Amino acid sequence: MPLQLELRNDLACLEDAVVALQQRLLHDGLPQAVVDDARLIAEEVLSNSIRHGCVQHEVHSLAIRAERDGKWLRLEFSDDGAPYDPLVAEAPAIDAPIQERPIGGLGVFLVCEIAESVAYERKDRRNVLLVVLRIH
Amino acid sequence: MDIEIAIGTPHGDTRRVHVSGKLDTHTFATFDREVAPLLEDATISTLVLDLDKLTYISSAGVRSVFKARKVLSARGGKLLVVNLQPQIRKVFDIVKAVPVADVFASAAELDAYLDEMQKRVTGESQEED
Repeated sequence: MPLQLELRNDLACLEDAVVALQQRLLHDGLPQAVVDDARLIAEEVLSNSIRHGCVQHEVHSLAIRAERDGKWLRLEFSDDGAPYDPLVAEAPAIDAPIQERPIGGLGVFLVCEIAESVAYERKDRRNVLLVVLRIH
Repeated sequence: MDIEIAIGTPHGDTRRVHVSGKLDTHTFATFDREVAPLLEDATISTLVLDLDKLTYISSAGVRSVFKARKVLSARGGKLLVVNLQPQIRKVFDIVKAVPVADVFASAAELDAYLDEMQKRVTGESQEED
């Protein structure tokens, strides 16, 4: 059975959703390292959606769907906010000298580095981000 | 407990900060607030973050660590980190949060480095005399 969770576009609700995801994945017997990755990805993607596509003074609903498929863990994040593709952002300059490095922009970069694949689509008036992790 | 920050007593120009719990979207502001006075304190040139009991970090937390490093570096100081748990190490490695040379596997390794630095500073001042 896939796990489905819904939350409001409120950063205060984020923690509960992320912890629920983490506990369920641990309960399903996934390795700690994969659960850690999934938790981080969920926080990065959802906090990004709340800050960008779903501005906080409007009420939006966000959803997480997690499903194990053999050696893959598929995490699908969706929201009914304004169209927002997080993957168009430029990669941060992590090799630049410290004083020239911007301090932000690391969230999406982390997700893309950790995941096996990340894809965005706008579907049925929702932003949908599919993140696939390898279970090792 | 979300985050707990314990600031050690001054040791020369080095200060240790023990960070426990999680450093993420919900807790980074607490970290920033607690660490800010140390970043402004010109008598501190080396700030050590002991992350032995930090179990989780996200990009929001990395941003705070990075910000601290930037402030210290701008005034000739240094940020060192010690005792990284696997999740923290992985994230630090990916985003190059701290140069490899400033990451220490254990307190013993860090102490040896700090002693060496201290000796070098003492040696230099003796030569000047």
